Amino acid sequence: MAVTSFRVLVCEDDPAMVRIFQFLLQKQGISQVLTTSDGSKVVPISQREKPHLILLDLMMPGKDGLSVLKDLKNNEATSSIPVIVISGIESKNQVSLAIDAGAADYVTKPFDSMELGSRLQEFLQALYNTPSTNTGSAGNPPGRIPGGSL
Amino acid sequence: MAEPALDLSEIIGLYKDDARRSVGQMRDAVAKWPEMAANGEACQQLRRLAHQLRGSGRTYGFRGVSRIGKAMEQVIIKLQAKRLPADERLRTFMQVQIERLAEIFK
Repeated sequence: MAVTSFRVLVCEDDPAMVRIFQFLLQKQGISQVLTTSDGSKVVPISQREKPHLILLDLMMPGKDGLSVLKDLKNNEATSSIPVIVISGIESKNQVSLAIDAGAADYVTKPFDSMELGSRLQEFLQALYNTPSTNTGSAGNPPGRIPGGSL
Repeated sequence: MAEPALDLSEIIGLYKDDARRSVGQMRDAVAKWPEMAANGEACQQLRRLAHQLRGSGRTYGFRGVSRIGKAMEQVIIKLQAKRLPADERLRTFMQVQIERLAEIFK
């Protein structure tokens, strides 16, 4: 499976951040970027669309990100989808809670756009064991990223 | 050899438009000072906007915006925890920060 075939769900209520995620993902060749600003819609959308990766903000209207993360991980249909938490909350406790709840990684806002773009590409390639060019081969099932951290 | 900087020019104009709207909403929130002082909707709105600009500013290359957003957010958190009085000094601080943001995005 090529990176260009990846589907990414961006869960974020700040339009400026949604736009930069869309921009960064599209720069990596990923055109299927789904978005929601409502925490309560993340699980239903994920069940329906089966994204390859979820970028999840912790502070969203509808339902907070940590509860959403737990719901995703407790749901058989979505538990294997890797989730990167992207949050303005910097406390170590919050990072631990997110990682313990099953987050594949935790990125603190603000972040360096270029670095995040490169890291997202590395993350997806490592996760699905696929090169960035379109080879047409099937990817591995989703799971935790082998090593590395955003 | 250093990597080239990421060219955000395609989306930076839209970000500035969003940020100008946020600055306008911040001015509106501070104008409702009694609501701010009582931790009402205006206070929550200002905190949300400051938090968002803190997160997006440096991401779009505006480090100063993240610094101002962070300073405002921290002050609002103290206000909400009643560790700061909602006095004239605080209102002036907020107004000065908002006008600094307006200057950046003019």
